[in-house]
Amino acid sequence: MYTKMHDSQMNRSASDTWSSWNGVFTRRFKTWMSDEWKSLSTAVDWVIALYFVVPGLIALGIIYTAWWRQAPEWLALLPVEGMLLGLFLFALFFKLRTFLEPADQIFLVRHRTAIPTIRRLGLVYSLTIATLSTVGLLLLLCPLLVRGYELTFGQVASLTIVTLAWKLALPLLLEITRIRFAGWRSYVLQAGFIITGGLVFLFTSRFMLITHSNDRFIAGFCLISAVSAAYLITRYRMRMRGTLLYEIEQERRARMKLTAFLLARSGVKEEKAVLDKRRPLILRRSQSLTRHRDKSSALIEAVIKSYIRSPDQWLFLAHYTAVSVVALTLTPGWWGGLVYAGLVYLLYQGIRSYCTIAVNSSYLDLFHWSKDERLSALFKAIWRISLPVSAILLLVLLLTR
Amino acid sequence: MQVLSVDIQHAGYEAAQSVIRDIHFTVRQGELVGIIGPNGAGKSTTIKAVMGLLDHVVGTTDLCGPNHNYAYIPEQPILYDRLTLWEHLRLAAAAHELSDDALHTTAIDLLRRFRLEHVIHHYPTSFSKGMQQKVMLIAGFMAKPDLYIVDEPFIGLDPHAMKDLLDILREELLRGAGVIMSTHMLDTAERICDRYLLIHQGTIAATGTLQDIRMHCSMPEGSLLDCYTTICARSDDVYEDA
Repeated sequence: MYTKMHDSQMNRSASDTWSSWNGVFTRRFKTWMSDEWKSLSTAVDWVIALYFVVPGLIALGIIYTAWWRQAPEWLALLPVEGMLLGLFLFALFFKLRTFLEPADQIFLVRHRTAIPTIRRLGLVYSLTIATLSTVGLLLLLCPLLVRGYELTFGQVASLTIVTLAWKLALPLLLEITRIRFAGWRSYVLQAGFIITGGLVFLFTSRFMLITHSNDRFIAGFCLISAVSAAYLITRYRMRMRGTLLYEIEQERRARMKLTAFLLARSGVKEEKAVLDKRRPLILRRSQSLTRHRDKSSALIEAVIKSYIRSPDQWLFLAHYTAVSVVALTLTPGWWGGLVYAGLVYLLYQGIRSYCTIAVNSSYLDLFHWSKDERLSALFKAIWRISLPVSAILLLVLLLTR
Repeated sequence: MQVLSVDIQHAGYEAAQSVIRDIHFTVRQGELVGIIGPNGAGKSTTIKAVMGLLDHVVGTTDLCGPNHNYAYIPEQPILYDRLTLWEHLRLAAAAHELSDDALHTTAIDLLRRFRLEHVIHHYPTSFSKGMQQKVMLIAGFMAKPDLYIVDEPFIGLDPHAMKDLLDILREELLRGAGVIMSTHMLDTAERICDRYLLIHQGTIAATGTLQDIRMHCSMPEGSLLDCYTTICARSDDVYEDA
C-alpha cells in the first residue's frame, strides 16, 4: 500500500516537475520571440516594409507563378549537380537551440529533469525550424525541379527528406567534433566531414534522382539510411555529457545574433565571452606591423591586428569581394566606374563599424588617448584595411572593360 | 609633497542628483590611502570624480605631483578580444610614451614577477579572471606615475599574486608614488594603508589613520572592521532619525 502510494506520489511529482520545466521553456521562448520582434521592428520600420518588403514579396509571387508556367531559360546553364550543391550548402546551416541560460548551472542543475527537459524542447523547436525552412525552400524550388529538371513530386518529396536529414546530421556531427576535439584536429576533422558529406550527398541524391530514378528500392534505401544517420547522430548529441557550458555559450550567441548585428551597425559592441583560442593564428609572436613606436602608430596597429584576426571580418571581406567582383563583371561599359566608387564606399563603411568599436575600446579609456588621436587612427586603419580589396576591385574593373 | 588634492562639494551622474558630497582629502607622496565603505556608498563615484570621468562635479581635483599623471587599475579587467598580452602592454607603453627599452625592461620584469612571461603571445581574454587582473596591474605599473588609483585590486588574485602586488605597491610607495585604493578587504587594508577614508551614504563618515578612526568611534583597541561597522551603524541611525 505504502509503495503504491509512494510511487503514485512520485509519478505525480515527476509530472508536475515536467510541466513546470515545460513552463520555463515556454516563458523563455516567448521572451526570446518578443525580444527578436522588438529588434526586428527597430530595423524594419513601416517605411522599409511598405517600399521594399511588400513589393519584394509581390515580385517574388509573380516570378514564382511564371516559373510554374515555364522554367526560366537560365536554368539550362545550371546542371542538376549545381542545384544539389546549393541544397548541400543550405543543409550545412542548422543550429541546435537549447534555451539554456547561465544561471541554469546554479539553479536548475540540481533538478535532475530540468535541463534535459528544456534541452529536449529546444531540440523540438530546432527540428521544427529546420523542417519548415527545408520544406519552404523545396517548395520555392519545386517549379524549377519539376519543370526544369523534370523530377516527379515524389522525387521532390524524397529530396526534401534527404536534405532535412543531412541538415540535422552534418551540422550536429560538426558540433560533436568541435566539442570533442580542439586545435588543428578539430579543423581537419570538420573539413573532412564537410568534404566527405558533400560528396556523399551529391552522389546519393544523384543516384536516387537521376541514375536510378525509377528504382523504389534504391530510393527507399537512400531515404532510410539518411534518416537513420540523422536519428543516430541527433541521439548521440543529445546524450553527450559535460556540454552544459558549451550549450549555454552557444545559446547566448544564438540569442544575441540579430541584436548584436543591429548594435554593431550602430558601433556598439556585444560583450563577448572568453575566447576559445589561446594564441592568434596571424602574427602569432605579436610581431609589429610598423617600425614606428609613437602613440598614433601603436593605435593604428592595434586596430588593424584586431581586425585581421577576426574570422567574422575575414568572412565579410571574402563575401564582399566575391559579390563585388560579380557586380563589376556584370556592369556594362564605364558604368563600372560608378559602381566601383559605390562599392569602395560601402566597403569603407563596412570596415568602419568594426574599427569604430576598436578605437572606442574601454581598454583605451584607461590611458590618455585624445579624441583626435582616436579619429586619426580610425581613418588610417580603415584606409589600410580596405586597400587590398579596393586594389583587387580596381584590377577587376580594368580587366573587364 | 602632495600628489593629489580633492575638494568636491558635490558630484553625480546627473546635474540634479548628486551622489557624493563634501569629499575633501589629499594624498601625499609615499602614502597609501584606503577608501572603504559599504556597497553603494559612493566609493566608485569618488574615484570617477577624481579621474574626471563625471560630467557633473562641483569642486576641484588637482593632480599636483611632479609629472601630473596617474594610472588607473580597474576592478573588472578590460581587454581587447584579439590582441595578445604583449600587444596590450605595447599599447599601454605607447599611451605613456615609453621608449622600446623602457617597455622591455619594465614589462618583462613585471611579467616575471606576476608569472605571466610564458603567455605573452596569448590572448588575455582566454586567461582566468585572476590572470586578467594581473594584466591590468602590469599595464598600470608600467607607467611609474605620481599616483595610482586602484579599484578592488585583490579580487580574483591568488595569495602569491596578492603578495607580489603588495610588494610592488610598497616599492612604488618608496619611489614616492601616492596610492588611493578602494577595497572591501579590511584586514589587508588595516595592515597596509597609512590613512583611511570611510565613505558612507555619499559622504566621508570618518577619515585619518587607524588610531584617528579608533578615537572617532571610541574603540581604542578595535580593528578596522569593528570601527567600520560601528561608524556605519551610527550613520544609519542618524540618517533614519533625520
